[in-house]
Amino acid sequence: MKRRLDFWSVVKFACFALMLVFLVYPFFSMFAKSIISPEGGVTFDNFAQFFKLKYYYSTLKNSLSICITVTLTCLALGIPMAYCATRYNLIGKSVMNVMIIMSLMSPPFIGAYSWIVLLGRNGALTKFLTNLGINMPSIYGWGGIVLVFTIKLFPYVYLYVSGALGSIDSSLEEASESLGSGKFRRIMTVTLPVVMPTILSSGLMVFMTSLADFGTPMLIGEGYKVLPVLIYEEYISEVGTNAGMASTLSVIIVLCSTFVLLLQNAVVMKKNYNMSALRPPAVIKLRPIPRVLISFACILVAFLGFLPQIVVVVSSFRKTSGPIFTSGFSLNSYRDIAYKLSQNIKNTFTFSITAIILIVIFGMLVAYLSVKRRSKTSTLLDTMVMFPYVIPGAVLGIAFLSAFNKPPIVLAGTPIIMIVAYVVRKLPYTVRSTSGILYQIDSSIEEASISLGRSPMKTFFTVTARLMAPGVISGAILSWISTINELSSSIMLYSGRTGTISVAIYNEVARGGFGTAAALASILTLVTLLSLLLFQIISKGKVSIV
Amino acid sequence: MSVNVRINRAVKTYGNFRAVDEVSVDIAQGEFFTLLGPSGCGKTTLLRMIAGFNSVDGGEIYFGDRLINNVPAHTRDIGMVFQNYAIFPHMTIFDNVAYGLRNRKIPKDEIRERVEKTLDIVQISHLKDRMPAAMSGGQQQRVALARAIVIKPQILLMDEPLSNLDAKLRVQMRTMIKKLQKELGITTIYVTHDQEEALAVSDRIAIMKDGKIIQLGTPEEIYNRPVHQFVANFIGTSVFLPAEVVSQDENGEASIQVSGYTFRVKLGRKAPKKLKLSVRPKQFLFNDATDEGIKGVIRVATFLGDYWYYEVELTSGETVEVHEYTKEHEGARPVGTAVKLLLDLNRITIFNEDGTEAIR
Ligand SMILES: Nc1ncnc2c1ncn2[C@@H]1O[C@H](COP(=O)(O)OP(=O)(O)OP(=O)(O)O)[C@@H](O)[C@H]1O
Ligand SMILES: [Mg+2]
Repeated sequence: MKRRLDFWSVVKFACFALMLVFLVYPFFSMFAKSIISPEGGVTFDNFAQFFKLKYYYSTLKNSLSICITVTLTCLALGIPMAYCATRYNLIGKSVMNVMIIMSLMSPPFIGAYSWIVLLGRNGALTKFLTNLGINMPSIYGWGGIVLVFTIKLFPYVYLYVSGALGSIDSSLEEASESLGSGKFRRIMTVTLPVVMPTILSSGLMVFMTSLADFGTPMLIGEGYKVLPVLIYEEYISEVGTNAGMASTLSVIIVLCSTFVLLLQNAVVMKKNYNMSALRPPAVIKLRPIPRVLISFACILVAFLGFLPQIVVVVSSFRKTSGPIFTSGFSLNSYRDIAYKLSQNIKNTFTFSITAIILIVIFGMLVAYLSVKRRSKTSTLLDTMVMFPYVIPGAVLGIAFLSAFNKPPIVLAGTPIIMIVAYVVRKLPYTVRSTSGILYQIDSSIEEASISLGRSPMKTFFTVTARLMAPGVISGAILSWISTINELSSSIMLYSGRTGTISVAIYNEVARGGFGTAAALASILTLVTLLSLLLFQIISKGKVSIV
Repeated sequence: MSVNVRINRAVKTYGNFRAVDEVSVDIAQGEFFTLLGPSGCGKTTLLRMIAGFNSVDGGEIYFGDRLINNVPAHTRDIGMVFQNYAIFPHMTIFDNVAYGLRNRKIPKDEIRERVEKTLDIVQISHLKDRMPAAMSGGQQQRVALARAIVIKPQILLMDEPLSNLDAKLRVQMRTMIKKLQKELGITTIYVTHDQEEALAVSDRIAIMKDGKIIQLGTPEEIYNRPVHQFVANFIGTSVFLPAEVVSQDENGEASIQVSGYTFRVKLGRKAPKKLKLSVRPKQFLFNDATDEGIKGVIRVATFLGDYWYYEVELTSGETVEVHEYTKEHEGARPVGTAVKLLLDLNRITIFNEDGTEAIR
């Protein structure tokens, strides 16, 4: 008996084919490049060199040192804040939440940029303090990276953990209390273990993001070099020297991420206490003085995260002379970018819009396949699609370059390679939020439509897609925000004509154009803010940001 | 036009497990046919094979003369009513019901007319502009029914359509469904695990167990002439008493002993030595005249209006349920009374020892 090819088999086949070409093939070429010697044989020289030469292996050490420190500082900051925000009647809680979400969604390198503007060599605060006779420690290097990452990434911990704390059923804690546990004991023995998996996940998120981020250490690290920066430099200087090193470094970083991810799966997945609170924990009314003090501390931390964006917007209106901000305000920076960099602005929006359209279509189909047509192959497809979630953008860039700068598919330097990279890299957001919604749609709804004579394809578009829409749109907005702000893969893949806003900001900062950089960053910040507003309206708080 | 359905040795496998195991059945045009059986016996699986949502892994299914094994579900021309209603939540009631028509190149006026007429039939025309979220379970089920019949399908399939409703509404709805089905003359396949519901609505019932059809027949046949202990047990209440054939002559007249009581009955064929009797509560008769009968003592006596409900402990230790109409006996038989029970020999079912075959 021959089974007819139905719509979904065709879709599944097409998705697979695309993933093979745009994910498996690039990573395979990258891997091949790292182990194939210039003469053509298989060699592990590159890997040997990595572990022999301090110049190379120290970056791995640096990366790990940064990631571990940042994870710990973020947890130390995020967990108590989440606890206070969910359990106490803090003042200005919603303002605080908005600031925290904004700082999480802001362009990744704005933090580094702003802290340089404030505390760098010519920084406003530095000058101010020097005049007072206080010498600030240097913002450049390890300390600066940790500071910027902590302020930028603790929102992950805060948002994840407040979510979990808010969904503990209060009877659980009451039970513990009725058994005679004191408050501290209760937190340590009941509350903490229950939210532990969430804490670990948020820690992992921080770890992965700080491992992958390129912009921050590049701008503020100076002599302190981490792995993604080394990858970029190796790639830039690759002409003539060892062609495989950037690939080798990329393979190493992929192995690190995969290892950490597997570790997390092993630890967390086994004990996920899934709860939805019947009775969420009561908010405790603090006495006025502790209330003000705790609120002030929390808002201060949130404000530090939000500060870079204020700095950026303010800076964009200041007068500049070369790299130095002078007193007074003007629109010169905006005039400059309109004159020099309008192509980048156009690119950011055309590329991102194209990418988002593809992400929405592809994301809906993949999410549908993995939720509603569960099979070994669709699970594999889902895993493949989610893989780039943990891959640093610079690595994806290297992979794409090693695959698409030679026949059979030559895309290097074209807008297409940028768009495809964005799609591959940002797809997971949409797939995740869409899957979440799909789990709530009963399959008999579709079957009802089919039994009434609509083909599976028509059913998908008239019924399923309509019901999926809120999840898809929310996910797409998150993908969109993250796409317009994307730096690490863009910087690898852009060519003269295809630079984006992020690339321009990076280049401007690198050559001292702080004013123009600020103007560009302000545009991104504004668009991000508007998109977030849209997200809140559409998702009605039902789709989580992280 | 409604059609007959022919299922020939249909098989559905999940791995090595046969959820539907060589089921064969002919369903006549216009018949109300019910699949009845305990949870997990394969009713839904078979229904979904007919609907086209499950593949047919063996055998054939025909709608009329058309082999539909590999026909995609949306071209099978069926109407289906789901257990959880499956109303499209983003459409009004009117649009829900019109959904199946809009795909069929039917003029707008006719669609409106047909939808309104159908909503009238299921008595919810006043709700046609509502959204589904603002409707009760019973109302939603009426929408689901209207949506399925408005397209005048060849076959109507229903999977436990009433199981989410409360008892009273269930009875109301099943009466409506049965009436509607007869008026429209539409071939209907109905799935339920509620035996009373099945007896009430069906022209014929198939009792399923472990993916197989155990018995196929009218409600009366199924109730009165179970072919398997499983059926006797599943439909109504029965007790099973071990019995022994003392002798049997060449005419088939047998003398059978059960718990010290011997009776004579004509069997159609040579009976095995050991038997099992299946007796319903109304098939026990109190013997107040002679000393004959199965001996026991009344343990529970409850007045239930039309009849007295007794629990009688037999000398064998077993407890049986006995119903006696109030008009047959004045007053109660008090707890503790010693009684003798005869059997309504024309009605009881006689099985072989393991209950897999009805001797009579
Ligand atoms: N997708 C599946 N994969 C594996 N086994 C299945 C699947 N669907 C059903 N089964 C098995 O097939 C058998 C029959 O299931 P089915 O849903 O047809 O039962 P049912 O008679 O409708 O029961 P219920 O009254 O509970 O709805 C069950 O044992 C069930 O576990
Ligand atoms: Mg079922």
